[in-house]
Amino acid sequence: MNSQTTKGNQVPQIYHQSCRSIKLCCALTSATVYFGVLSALGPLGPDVTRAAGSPALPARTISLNESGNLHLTSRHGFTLNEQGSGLGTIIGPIYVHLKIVSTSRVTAEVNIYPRAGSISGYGAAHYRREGAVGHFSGSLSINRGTGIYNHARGSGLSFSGTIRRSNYAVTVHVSGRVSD
Amino acid sequence: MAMTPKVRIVLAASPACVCVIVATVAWARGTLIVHERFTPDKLGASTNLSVTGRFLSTTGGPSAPITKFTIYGPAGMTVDARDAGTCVAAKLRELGPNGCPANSRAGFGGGVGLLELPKETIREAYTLDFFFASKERGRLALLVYASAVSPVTVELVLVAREVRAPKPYGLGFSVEVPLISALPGAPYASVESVFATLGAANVAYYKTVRGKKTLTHLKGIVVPKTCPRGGFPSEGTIDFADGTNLTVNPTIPCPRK
Amino acid sequence: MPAQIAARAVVLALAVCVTLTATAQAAPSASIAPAFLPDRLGAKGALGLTIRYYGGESGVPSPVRRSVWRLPAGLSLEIPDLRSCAAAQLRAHGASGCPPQSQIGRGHALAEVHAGSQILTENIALWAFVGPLHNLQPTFEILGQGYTPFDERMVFTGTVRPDRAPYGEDLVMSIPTIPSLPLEPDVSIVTLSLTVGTSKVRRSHVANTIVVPSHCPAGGFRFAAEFTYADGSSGSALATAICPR
Repeated sequence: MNSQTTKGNQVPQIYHQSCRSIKLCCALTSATVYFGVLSALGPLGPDVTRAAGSPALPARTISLNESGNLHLTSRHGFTLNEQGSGLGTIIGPIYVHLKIVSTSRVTAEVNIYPRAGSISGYGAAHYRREGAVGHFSGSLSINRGTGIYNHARGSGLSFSGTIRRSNYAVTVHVSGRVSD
Repeated sequence: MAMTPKVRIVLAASPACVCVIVATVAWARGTLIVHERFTPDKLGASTNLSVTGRFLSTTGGPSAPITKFTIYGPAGMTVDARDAGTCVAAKLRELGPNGCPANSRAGFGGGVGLLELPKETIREAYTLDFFFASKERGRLALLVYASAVSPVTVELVLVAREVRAPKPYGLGFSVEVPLISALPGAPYASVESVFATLGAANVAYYKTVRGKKTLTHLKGIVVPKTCPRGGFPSEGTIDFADGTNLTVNPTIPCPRK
Repeated sequence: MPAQIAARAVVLALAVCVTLTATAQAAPSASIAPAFLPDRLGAKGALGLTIRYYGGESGVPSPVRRSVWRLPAGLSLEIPDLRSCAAAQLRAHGASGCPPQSQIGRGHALAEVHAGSQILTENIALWAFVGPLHNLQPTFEILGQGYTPFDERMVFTGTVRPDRAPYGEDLVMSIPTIPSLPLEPDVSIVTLSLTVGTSKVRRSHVANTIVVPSHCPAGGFRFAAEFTYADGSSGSALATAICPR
């Protein structure tokens, strides 16, 4: 069986070959659907690593590289509730609850809502103020997902960003590997 | 010679003075304007009673010296002097206000006095310190320390004694004022203005109760529990050295609900 | 007539002398004295700030309405567990109405007011708390509680803003009017002493502390303060904390 790398919305040629067995056919169909869904996410599909000799439903690892520009929607005590759009690996609205825990530390709950599900994570970062901007840098764990991200998990992702003092506007950047 | 002055009551329009009624009295030499108010003005609550008076002369000269002042407060107004200390007149004369216990303080005030010289009238600020004195035959007494520093030094200790007040008034006080000779050959000093605040709202002192230091709040002057229609009536009568007298009847409006 | 003229001359001369003296003493002024505890570069501890006010015709300085403390660059406040306390909470319940983690300092002040012929003095206990966020900075709420002769409580707010070298940040405080009695002057703070942070002796690992800058500029750590008074005048004060050995 020939295999081809999927590009854009092209249907892989694999569909046109005859199925020698139902199991193999189902596995191939599932792989195709997966590829199709990932392709539908946008022009920059994720890098997908498939282990050599892997079983019919292999564990997938996604390289996540996500950025967002968010604005303040509400504030309660030292918690800033932010909303914006995610750009990068996954495109969709981003909601962040950023809590200034101490004068040198912040924690955050990050929720991304692309079309086919959602991904949620929890991060903690060192925080410092430089003039009109606060900077944070730390790590984030993906601990929950829905839809096609139902099994998305990851830890030690890079989590960083800025908070503008004048209007509490936040930029956030998350990168790292997420398994599914 | 007693004169019957015209009395004119004017409602103060300023929101800051919403709890004040201005009483204006005209007499031969000019006009006396009096303000009175309770602060805070809440029925049945501890309060401060503030009084201001100002003589406006129409003759170009100061009013005659005051020899006696009597004030009647509204019926139902009380003075609760429990837990207050008392001061002795002799100590006050000898040492000034430092000779009185801090918890005997009953109020403060001051004003401007007038010293008439042949070609000019000198205005001099003076201060008033009020202290509780021991009761006299069951009646309240206050010591008044009147002091002026410059250009003429004056120190006087007066005694204001509780007097029975006719209806519709309640508690009354009367104080006799000696003639003040500021400069040799010059007329006796007179008063251009006076202000005073008496009471103990928010005043507290430490008292040892069963060996333990306890913060004790004084009540002092207490607003009557009910307010008659038209406001709390009061009356002030001033006797002058020239034999004239003046009566003013300010009314303090009822507290807003 | 000559006796009257002489008497008048004496009176007028006295009046002129007293007026001149009063004018010279009337302008308010202040001095400040900062101190680090411990006095060691990079140390976590406390900063003590003491202010004294002078002047005033009657011997009582004009009340301060606004003060700006200019703090040395590199000085920071470390609060491991940010909790805040609102001014309304402090006014209603005093210091016990706030979470303990929100307290960042203690101190005392001496207040004076000229009433009648006397100068009344009152000792005031001070507490400093973290207030709500403002421009990404915690604000500060300073609670003052006096008991005698007046049982009164007041709260004033401080905010932080950046400054230029050699200063790092400013602490700006608006001080409300403190009334005494009707018809009498407002109360003036004559001295104020506030310790922010916790000194080493009583510190626990979750304590709120000041962090002394790790580098001391030549000449020492510079502090400055600017004051605006109720009578419309303003003034400033400078102080230097010498570099730790």
